Order: sequence, then C-alpha cells, then structure tokens
Amino acid sequence: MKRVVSLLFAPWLGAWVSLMLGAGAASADNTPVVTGAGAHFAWVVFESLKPDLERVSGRSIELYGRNSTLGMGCNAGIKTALQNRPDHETFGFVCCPLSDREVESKQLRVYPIALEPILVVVNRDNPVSGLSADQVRGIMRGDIVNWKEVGGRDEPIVLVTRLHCKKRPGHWKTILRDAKEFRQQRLNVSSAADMEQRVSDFRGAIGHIGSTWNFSPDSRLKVLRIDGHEPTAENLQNRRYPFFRNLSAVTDRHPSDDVLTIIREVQTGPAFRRIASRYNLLPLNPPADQASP
Amino acid sequence: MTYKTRLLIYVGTLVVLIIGMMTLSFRMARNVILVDAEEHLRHAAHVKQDRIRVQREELARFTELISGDLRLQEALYVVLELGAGKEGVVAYYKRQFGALPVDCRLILSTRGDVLLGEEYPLLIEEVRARMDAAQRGHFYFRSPDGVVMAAMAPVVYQGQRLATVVVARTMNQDWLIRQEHRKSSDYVLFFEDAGQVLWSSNPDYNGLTVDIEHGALQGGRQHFSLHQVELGDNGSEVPRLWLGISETSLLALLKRYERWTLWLAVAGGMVVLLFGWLMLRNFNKPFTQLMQITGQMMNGRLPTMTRSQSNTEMDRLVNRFADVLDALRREQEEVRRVHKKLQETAIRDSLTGLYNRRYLQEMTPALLAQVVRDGRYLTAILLDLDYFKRINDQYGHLAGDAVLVHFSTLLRQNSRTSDHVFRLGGEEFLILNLADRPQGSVVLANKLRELVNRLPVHYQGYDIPVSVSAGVSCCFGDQGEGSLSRLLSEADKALYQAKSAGRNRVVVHASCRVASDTVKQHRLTLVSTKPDPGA
Repeated sequence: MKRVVSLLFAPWLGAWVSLMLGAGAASADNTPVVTGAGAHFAWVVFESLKPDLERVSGRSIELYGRNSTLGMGCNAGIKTALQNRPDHETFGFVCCPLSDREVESKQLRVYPIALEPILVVVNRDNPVSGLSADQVRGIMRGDIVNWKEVGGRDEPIVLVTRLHCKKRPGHWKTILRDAKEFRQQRLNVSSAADMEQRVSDFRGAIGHIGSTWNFSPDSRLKVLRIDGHEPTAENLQNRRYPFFRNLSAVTDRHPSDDVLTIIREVQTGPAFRRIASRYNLLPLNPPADQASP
Repeated sequence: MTYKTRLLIYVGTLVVLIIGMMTLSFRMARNVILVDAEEHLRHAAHVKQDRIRVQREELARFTELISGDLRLQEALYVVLELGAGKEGVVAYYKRQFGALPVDCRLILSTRGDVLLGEEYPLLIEEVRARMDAAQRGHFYFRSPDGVVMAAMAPVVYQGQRLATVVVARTMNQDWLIRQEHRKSSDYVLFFEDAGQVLWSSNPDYNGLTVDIEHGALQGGRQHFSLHQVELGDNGSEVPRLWLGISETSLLALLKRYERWTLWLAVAGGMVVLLFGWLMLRNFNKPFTQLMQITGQMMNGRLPTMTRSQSNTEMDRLVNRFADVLDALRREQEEVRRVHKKLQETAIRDSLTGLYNRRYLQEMTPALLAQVVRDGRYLTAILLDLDYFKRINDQYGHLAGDAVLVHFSTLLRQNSRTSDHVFRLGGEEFLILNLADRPQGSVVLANKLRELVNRLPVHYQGYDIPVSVSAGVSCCFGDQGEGSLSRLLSEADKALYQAKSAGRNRVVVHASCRVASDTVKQHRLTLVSTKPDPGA
C-alpha cells in the first residue's frame, strides 16, 4: 500500500521540488535592470556600448529610444531620469544643454558626454555641395529662396526645419538663435526621420540633422560642407565647423553607484571613443586613463 | 347511364384530378421558389448596396485622411506657394498613402494643375468638371474599363484651399467578380447601359443584350430575375448595376423532376385506369352472365351456370344465383312431371288407361292435317262390346269393369304402333290410324273381334264370354279436312250396321272401298256411305 501511495505522489513531489529550486534560482538573479531613455543620439551611443556598460556595472541595462512607446527626445530622457527609485534605477539622455533653471527646478544632475555636429543636408540631386555658414543662415532666414543664388539651379529652396527644445539653449540655435528668425514658408518636421524623408522628397530641399542619425539605405540626402569644412570632431574642436549640439546624460539628484558607473564609462571609457569616432562626436571628457585621480 | 360508363367517368375524373394536382403542385412549387428567390435577390441586392456604400464611405474616409494630413498640406503648400517641384508631394503620398486600397489617386490644385495622378486623364477631366460644384463628396463616371467610384475632398492649409484630393476605385470586371464571389453561376452582377451588358461577373455575358423587363439575356440560355443595385447619386449617364439570379438554374432541379413526376402521374393514371378496367371486368363479367341468364329465364329457359371457385362477393352472388336456378330447374321438372301426369290424366281414361274423348278432340286436327299434307289414309275403327249391360246386370259392375279392362288390354296389346286407341265412353272404343292404305285397319278390326271371341274374361272363377262389333270408316287426302265428325259418323253407321246385323261382326263403310278386296277376303260387309233413310 505504501508503495502505491509513494508511486502516486512521487511525480507531484518531484514537480514541487523542481519549482522551488527554480524559484530560488530566479530570486538569486533578481537585481533590477537599469533603465535609460531619451534622445535618439543617446540611444545610438548607449546601445552600441551596452555590452561594455553591463560588463563594467554588473547590471542589466534596458534602453528605450528608437521606436519606443515610452517616447523619444530630451523631454522623455528627463522624465525617465526623474523616475529613479532604489528598486527602479533610471537615467536619461538629452541632445541639448539644459538651462540652470531647469536643472534646479527639476533637481537634475547633468553629465556632459560629447558635442555632435549638426549636419546641413540637401537632396542628393542638388548640385550644391557646400555653403558658407552665412549662406546657410540666409537660407534659414529666408533671405535666400532660390538655389541659383548660391550657385545652384534655378529652383526654389524648400526649407525643412526641426526646431525642437525651443526653450533650451544650444542645438539648432547655433544656426539661428530664435525660431522666429526662421523663414515662415518652411516645412517643419517633428523627428529626424521626417527630416530625412522630407529632404529626400524635395529636390530643392535643405535641412539639418544630427550626425548620429543613421541614414536609411534609400536615403537621398547629401551632407554639405560648411565654409569648406566637413562636420567632423576635429573641425568642431578647432571651431571650424559652426553647427553642433551638446549630448548629455541626466539623472536625478540621487543616482545609484551603478548608474554613475555606467555614465562614467560612457564619458571616459574606451568603447565610447570608438563610437564617437564613427559618428564624428567630440567627447567632452578625457579618457579614463588620462583623467585626474 | 350504365355503371360501366359511370365507372369510366369516375376513373377518368380521378386521372384528370391526379394530373391536375401534380401540375398545380409544380406550379405552386415553382412560384414558391421564384418568390423566395425574388426575396433573396432583393436582400442580396441590398447587401451589395451596403457593400458599395461602405466602399464609398471608405473612399470618403481616405480622402479625409489624405486631405487632413498636415505634412501633405505643408508639402502642397511648398509646391504651390514656393514653386517647389511636385516630386516631393508624389514621394510623400506614395510613402504615406501608397498602401491605401484604391485604384486611382489624384491631387489637383485649385488652379487645375495636376500634382499627382497625371496618368488618369479621364478622372482629371471629371474632377475638373466638378471642382466648382462640389468640393467634397463622391461621384461615379464611366470609363472604358468600368464604372469609376470616386471620392473627393479639399486640402486646406492655414485657411487656404490648396487642392482637391481624389481617390477612386474602378468597378470593372475584376471588381464585379470579387463582389460576386460565389462560385455558383446562379448569380450574376453586371453593369448595363441601354439594354446591353457592359461588364459582368460572368464574362460570358459581356456584350449580351438584356431585356430588363423580362429578365432575359439574349444569347444566353438562362432566364434571370433582376434587381437593380443602387449606386447612389450616380446620375443617369452612369451604367446601372444589376444583380441577377438565374431562374433557370433555380428551377433546374424542379424541371428535372417535373418530367418524372408527370410520367409518374400518367403512370398513376394508367394504373388507376387498369384497376378500373379490372374492376369493371370483375363486375361486368358476373353482371353480364346474370343479365344473359335472366334474359334466358325471361324466354322460359333455365340454363345451367358454371360455378366459380373463388369466394368473392360477386362470385358468391353468382353461385347463389346458380343455386336458385338449380332449385327452379328442379321445381320446373316437378311441375312438368305433375303437369304431364295431369295431362295424362286429362287425356286418358282412368279405368282402362286408353285415350279419352278429350284427347281425341285435341289430336284429331293434327292427324287430319297430316292426312291432307301427306295424302294418306285416316281410318277409324269404332268398337262396341256386345250386350255389355247384360254383363253388368249378371256379374255386377265390377265384372263389367274387368271386361272393359280386359278388352282394353287386348286393344293395347294388338294395336299397331301407329294406332291411337281411345275409350269414347261406356263400352265404346275407337282406333284411329294414319297409313298409306286402309287395309290394315280392316284386318285389325276383324282380328280384334276374333280375339275377343276366343278369349273370355276370367272374373272371380267365372269365364265371361264377350263379343264386339266394329265399324270401319276411312278418309283420304283433302277429303279428310274438317271431316272428323264425318269419319266418326260413317264409322258409327257401319257399327250400327254390324249391330243390326246380329252383332259380333265388322262392317266397313264404303269410304273404305279401296279396301274392298280385303273386306271380301275376310268376308266382311262393306256398307254404303249414304245415310240409311230408314235409320
């Protein structure tokens, strides 16, 4: 009889033991992931560095940015940073410098990462390959409305702008300081993807976009030289290329050590140097091996 | 009216009723099918109308979606106001709205410039004609490929109307096939204009002439019920859309069985006729037999009927009738026997058994007629026992009766086959004979007289001697007509002569002179026919 009972209950007992062991294993690896979200550039950078960052911090990192339902852009990055809790560690990334007032009012900490060139792009069919900074500004203001005025074809200029983060300093403001200065008859887009498509659509279009933007394979954009200079980190550093923006990470006032480790690795780690080189970013922090102790 | 005729009428009426009911049933079934099909067709047409309305509204939603797109508005603005190339509009449209399920798309500026859709000149023309009249809505027009359903909406940017967006779907052959996706060929959806099928869900019907009123497609073998599918505000110049259901296909099954059912009805009628005929035959045969029998009975006959071995009511009736016939036949035999006995009694003398005077009266005309017809002799021998009163007085009446019986026996035993022997009354007897010659009767008379003399009557130990006298007369040929009384009178005269001459003798009347030799030979007396003046 005992044998029969033991045979009946043995499978159930085995299943229960397996379940308990599995649960124990899960609880042993129950460290919360670190969540980051924000502007597109940061997602490109952090996503590329993710294996290195996870190795350095010993934490799993989940990044939201591209195609995320959490939203993209600087506002989404700041919002994510402010959601930081001990059991839900977060940080954000923004593509433009924040004002002191915003930093204070939102109790933020800003970690500068790099300068990103703002590319001036035209349709690939446009014969113009370079403009002066003044010409660019003239086009943006509407002083120049036809390409023939800058040595191109007799074709109306279709201005495409993306004037985001209007209340923050920097960014497109390196082109024109105020949105009101831009030409009224223009196409406003709300994302870098739209910018790429709009400029691709119109043969006479001109627009601006960050250098970390990954162009689609069927993109019909062409990057212009400004004042005869390519948008490189070197030209940014020696101030020969005039249009750029600041890339930063943000946290609340109480970031965890792991989050700080992650950000610090981005700022100074060797992996980031490789990424920066690829996207012509100008790192704002010295490498770790050169940093002062 | 005979029962045969009535039965034929009943059976004929039944057959007509069967066929009539079958025909009526088929007509009712046909009507039910067609009415149901009509109702179904109406419903199906309404469903089609709803689908078309949904497609129309879908196109309208598309135009709203396109015209409300801010980026498109901006692009149009850039093109129209800044003079930029329209390739940007085209590229944006394809990227953003290229997946919309429409066949044609068109963006027309308020000035009439085509920004998108230059490949649709017919649509451009139609839209240009309507741009002032209606900025938003739908319309239909006819194209070489089919009827085009189009929806249009204005593009307004910052309060300024820039262009008109149009999307369209061609309701062509493929569209019709998609709408009428049933594999059955019972249904057909087609556009008609001026009585001609332009495009149809069944390509075989394209180009056929259609009679809308009668639902007939000329050139096709099928007949259709038709119902118009309203497109809605399509105008008179746009072909009409019809949904048809093939009555021929619907009724095919019924048609297939109609022939069988009619055959069955006819066969049923024939069976009823056969049964009627058999019934008629079964009833008619015994009835006819009974009619024949009763007819024969009316003629006084009682024929023999063959009895049937079966046990049906009619056969039992016939057998019962045969029993009645047999009984009647037996009764008739009995009656005949009794009648014969009565007849015998009536014509024979009760004591001697010889014919009586009544029978003499009955048969004499026939004998005389035979005498006249055949030219033969009729002879009469009138016999009278001598002194019979004396015998009665001496030996009594019973002895007299015995003498009469004895004499009658002698007469019966010694007369010829052709002799008719009568007792006329008392002791007087008569023998009539029809022969070619009268000599035999003369000889017989004399022979009888001699026998009586030789054979006395034995009565209670007494031998009573008896003698007889006889008179013989004859008649020949036409002399015999109406002469029985004369013959008997002449025989009586001869008998009288024999009595007068002393009795126990035979006297032959002169009418038998042809037998005079015989008379002489037997020494008999031949007397004259003239009446004796002294008698």
